[in-house]
Amino acid sequence: MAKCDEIELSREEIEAEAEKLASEVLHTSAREAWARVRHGEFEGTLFASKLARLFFLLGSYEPIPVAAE
Amino acid sequence: MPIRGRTPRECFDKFKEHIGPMIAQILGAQLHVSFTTAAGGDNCHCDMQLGTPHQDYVQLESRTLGKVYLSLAQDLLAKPCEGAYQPTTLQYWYKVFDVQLGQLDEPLFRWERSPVESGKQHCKHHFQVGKVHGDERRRAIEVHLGAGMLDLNRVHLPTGYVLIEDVLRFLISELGVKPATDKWESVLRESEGRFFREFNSRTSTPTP
Repeated sequence: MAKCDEIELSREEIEAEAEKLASEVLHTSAREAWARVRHGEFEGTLFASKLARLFFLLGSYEPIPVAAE
Repeated sequence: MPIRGRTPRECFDKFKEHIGPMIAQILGAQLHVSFTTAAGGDNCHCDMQLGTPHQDYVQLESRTLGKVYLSLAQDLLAKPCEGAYQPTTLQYWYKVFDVQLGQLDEPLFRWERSPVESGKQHCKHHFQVGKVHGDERRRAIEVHLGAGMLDLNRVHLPTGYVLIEDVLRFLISELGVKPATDKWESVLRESEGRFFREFNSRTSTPTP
């Protein structure tokens, strides 16, 4: 079996990871980055899918937030 | 009979027991597969990726192309079903890169399943071609279509549900990636069969 890593992240840790990613790559907030990703920017990049995955996990606590129009 | 679990955790454990051994047999037991859940949430969301939590892609050796880079991730949802839970893949991203990647690099090939939002009309399951090396920077491949040009980087080519096994088969048979076992074809066939029997029989026809 491949080495399976099981990670449990708290809501704060998921949010912190999203903020760190958005800050490092775009120098912006996670919500702003997520809004841009949802509008089709950065399509296909690892950044876009990583952010989508973090917001998916946040959906464990609440419906995935809709980007501001 | 589709897999069900008494709890979301049990569903994800069964998925892990399906994916972990297959990845180890095909790509090597040294590889990691990471499963992330939200502590204190509804326990119904699980993110799976090939690689460690801090490196969400792996480097593979090809007999013909040198190094290729692969990123595989799925978002799994455990849905309540007749008093139990059933795992389903809400989103997936399978990406093949020709160079060691940065966060804003586009893959050369990618297969995705993404929820289609209103205003976006492309297929939920699709394949896209990335940009290729140009003189100084990457450029999209454009082909003539009718009276115009089609940018292959922008079109979402429809696919059915693409299995991880399909991508691994492509890597080995088309890109020359070295499998960890000579029996890779039977391992993939067996794994696909198990997927269709135990996870989802409605996606597409299994390999005979």
